Amino acid sequence: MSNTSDDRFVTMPASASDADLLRRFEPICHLTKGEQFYPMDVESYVRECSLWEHTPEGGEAVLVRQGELSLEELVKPRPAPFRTVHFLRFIETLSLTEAAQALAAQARLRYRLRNFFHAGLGRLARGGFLPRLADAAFSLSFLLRGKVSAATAATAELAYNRMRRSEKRNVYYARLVRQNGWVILQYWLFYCYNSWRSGFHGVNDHESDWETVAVYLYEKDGLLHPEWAAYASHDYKGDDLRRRWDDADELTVEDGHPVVYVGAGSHAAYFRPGEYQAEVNLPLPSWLTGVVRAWNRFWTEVLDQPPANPFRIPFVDYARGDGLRIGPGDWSPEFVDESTPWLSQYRGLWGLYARDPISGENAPAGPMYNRDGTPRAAWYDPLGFVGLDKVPPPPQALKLLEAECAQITARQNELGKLIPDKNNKLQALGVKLRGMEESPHLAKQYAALEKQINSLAEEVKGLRREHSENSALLQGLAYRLDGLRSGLTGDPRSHIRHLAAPVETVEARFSNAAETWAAISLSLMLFAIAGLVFFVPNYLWAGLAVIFVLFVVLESILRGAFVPTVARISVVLALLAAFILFFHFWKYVIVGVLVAMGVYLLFERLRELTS
Amino acid sequence: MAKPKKIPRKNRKRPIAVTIIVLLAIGEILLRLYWVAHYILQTEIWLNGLPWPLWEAQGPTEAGMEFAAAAFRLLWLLVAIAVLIGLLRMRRWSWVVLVFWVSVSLSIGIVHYFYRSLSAFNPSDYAVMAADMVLVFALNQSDVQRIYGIRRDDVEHLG
Repeated sequence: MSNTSDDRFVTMPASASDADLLRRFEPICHLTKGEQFYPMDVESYVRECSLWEHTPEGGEAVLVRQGELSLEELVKPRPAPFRTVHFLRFIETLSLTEAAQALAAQARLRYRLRNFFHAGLGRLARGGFLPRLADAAFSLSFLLRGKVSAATAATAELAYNRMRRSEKRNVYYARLVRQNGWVILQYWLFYCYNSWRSGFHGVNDHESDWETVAVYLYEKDGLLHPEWAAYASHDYKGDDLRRRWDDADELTVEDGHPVVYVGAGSHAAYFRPGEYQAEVNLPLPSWLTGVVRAWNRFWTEVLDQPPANPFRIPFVDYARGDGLRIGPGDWSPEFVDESTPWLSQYRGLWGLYARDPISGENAPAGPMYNRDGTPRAAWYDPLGFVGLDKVPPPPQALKLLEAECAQITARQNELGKLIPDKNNKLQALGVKLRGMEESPHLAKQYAALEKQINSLAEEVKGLRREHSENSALLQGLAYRLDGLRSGLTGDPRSHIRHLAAPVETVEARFSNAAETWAAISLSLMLFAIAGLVFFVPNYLWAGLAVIFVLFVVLESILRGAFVPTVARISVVLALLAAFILFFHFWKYVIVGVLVAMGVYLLFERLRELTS
Repeated sequence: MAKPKKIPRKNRKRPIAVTIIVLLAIGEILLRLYWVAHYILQTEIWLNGLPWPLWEAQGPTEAGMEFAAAAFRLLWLLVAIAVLIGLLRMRRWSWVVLVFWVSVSLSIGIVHYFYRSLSAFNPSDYAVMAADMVLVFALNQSDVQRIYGIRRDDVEHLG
């Protein structure tokens, strides 16, 4: 890895062709060992697909069968009623036998390729017992939601492997856009399958996956300089998506190419290698979400306890970068724009529509569109998408700042004259008002003048406030201006609100035991509850509580979190005790509170009296 | 998981909640001292020795149960004295032991309350429950946790 200044700050002539620019800054992708799908071309993929239509009534019909579909066929106009969903289908419905054969063939393929993934300390051991319970509920939710089956994932892996054997091309689709003084190089990577859930214990699986990486250049002295790189990633948006080119800790650049660490299965792009913890909220009904929110507020604000949300399920996105590397020389670039038919004219999904109401298992639409067919912001507004719409390119920044300072200074000068004038007028009116006092016949004029004075006083107050605010603003701008003039670029991360950072490699106190416990604890608890129901049904509730607490405490010991866990349990027990005590002694409690308040107020008032 | 950094002892100030905790701990010590003393005086153990038999074929005898209860209370009395000293010296372990102790006590109290048909739930049980409850809320105040090195400002440790 090279990050010397010369390697990093590569420039290109402003007159360079779009293709040359796009190739000069094309990304280097580091995938994770165990990844099954790599960036590919859409044409081969579409040839393997069938085209379907999901009607508003819920029916599905095949429009073009597998083997008959091509990019030309795909873009043909297909009028349809509102709420119709067009989608591709990469893997056809499998019979039980086919599914079993696919799973067996997948295992053989992985063994042959020696392409295994080892999770290390898995997410279940990282999250703790309560999130694991929520995770079980999340898994059960797939019984109600649409999902892509494990056999589909296996068949997709086999199909992709077959395609890759016949044509091994790593493709990106690139476009160049000029907006607001920026030259934007956008790279779209297409994967035929997202296997995050089935392959890497993640949140979802879906057919097809579109990911984007962008580089933002500005022109100075006839040369184009890279200033920002932006990668699309889960849970992040706007300013948080981009890193400044000179931020060597956050952005790796090899010979002018930004390095992307690709999440295993999810294909999310990260700036640094590592394991990223994503958290997903259990889909709860709205009333329950309200209760949970109220409870959390009570827990943190009233009880002064650290925040905790047992309904958040931890998932790990493994972007280790220890797998295949795809960089310059490995890519087969394809240059696209709005005139590319398959890009602009096909608005449907690029894979199976799984009918998942929360969309996690539905395939995405193409680079230009969202799943509902509306335009995709990353395409039509590549600056706003990463929060750069408000940021001028560096050469313009200095000019804009100077202009802004000059404008404010002029206004300050204007205010410097205006305020004394208005103030003199106000004083003159004040004197006039005093002169009207004690003259009952001038009551009407007095009231009108008073109103005029009040209005003018407000105006003067506003002008003074503006002057004061401008002074503070000017001070800040002047400081920034000095910095820019002397070549200082400021903190490269000041724009970031939520920095995606890999989690520390967790070393649980007894890692192996913790992993094993994470795998078996839920089942053990269910067995214990079954035993309780069968052998001592009279003590069901107490038994349930004891079992639950025992499991939580045992888990906490393995995770090295015994003390905080016991503290939490103690607070819950104390709340229960408070409820019992209030239930029995509510009269005394109310009397006690009233007496205490009375004593306190008496003490305060007496102290005031005697001070 | 890294242990939270302790606040240097010279910089630690004792919050009011710690005073409440200490007073309640002293109260619990006195209560247990009373129970143990009452048992010793009642059985005149120094004259009569242990009230044999403690155990029969069906299980512990009534005298055995009383002896076990007194022995248990004596043990807790000794632990409580050690915890009190630790609390006054602002030791982390004393906070941990006290929270664990109070949690066990509250658990027993709550189970006893819900299954009180087995034996009476006395006013003294309510008093112990109330004291334990106040102890828990006092011990889990953020400033108390910080002073005993349980919670850090930079890292939310409870996870």
